[in-house]
Amino acid sequence: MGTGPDWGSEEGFFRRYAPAAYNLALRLCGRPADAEDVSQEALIRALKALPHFKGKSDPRSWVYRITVNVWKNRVRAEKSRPFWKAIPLFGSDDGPSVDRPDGAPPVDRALEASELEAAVQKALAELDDDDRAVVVLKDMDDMTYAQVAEVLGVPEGTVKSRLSRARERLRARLAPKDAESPK
Amino acid sequence: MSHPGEELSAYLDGALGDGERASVESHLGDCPDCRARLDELRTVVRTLAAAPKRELPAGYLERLKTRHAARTSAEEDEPAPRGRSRFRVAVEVALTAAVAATILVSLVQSRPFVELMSALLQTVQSAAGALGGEDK
Repeated sequence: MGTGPDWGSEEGFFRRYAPAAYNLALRLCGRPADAEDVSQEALIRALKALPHFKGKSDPRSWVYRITVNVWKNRVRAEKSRPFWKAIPLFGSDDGPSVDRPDGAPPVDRALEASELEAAVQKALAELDDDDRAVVVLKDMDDMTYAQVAEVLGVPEGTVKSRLSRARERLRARLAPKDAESPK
Repeated sequence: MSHPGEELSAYLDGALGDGERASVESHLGDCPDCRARLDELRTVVRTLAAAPKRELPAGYLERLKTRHAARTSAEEDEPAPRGRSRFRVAVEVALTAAVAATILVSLVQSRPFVELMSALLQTVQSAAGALGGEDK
């Protein structure tokens, strides 16, 4: 392993950071299959780069930074795909389907763990990529402005601006004005 | 002050300096719209924080270890990248220079197109012969 913090073994490293990397990727990507792919790629890259990690910054922030970079590269690649490759000819590319009751949403597409989770994920999907990354790290992972800035490689002022913009856009979805008014 | 912009979000996080915080609080005292907006922002933050985290999918770690092992194995099997030999680079540079010189001379002498192509062909053939000799 590297000269930084000792996680004991490769498996120890994976076990420790996989849940955080997976959940971050899930918030960013929206689909479990994509989240698994992105987070696993990030963890493998992090493990490979471990000898260069000196332990000066928070290890979680470091793993998050790699996860965000993998996700950004993926988004960039998706956007630059020729349009005909972006059109699924036979079904979706959400991965293998599983047996499910008629009319039920695809298991691998919907975030059906809870209504709250589904509502949050749907609202997040409507944000710009940059704004979504900030609000996920700050409000869902309880990071400080400084930590978010470090993970995303932007100034704290940019974090504040993006966070404000993201929260304002989420107001309409997650805190509608007439939520408590009688119908 | 006018209605606060991104200061309201920062106020919610306790991230404003004393002066800005006092200014925002003063405005909030007089502006029911901004008080309502602040409440809604607070609801957004609480809702996001309350969203549950997921367990790793079944088999995730096994798939990760398999993927890592495959990557490591592929990297070990991959031959070290070979740079181009100095000879090959020198021939390529010479070829480019010869083609450029041929075009230049032909243009200066205003030779007909056929003669120009013939000269070019000759140059390329002799350079290709030199390159082929390296591989033998």
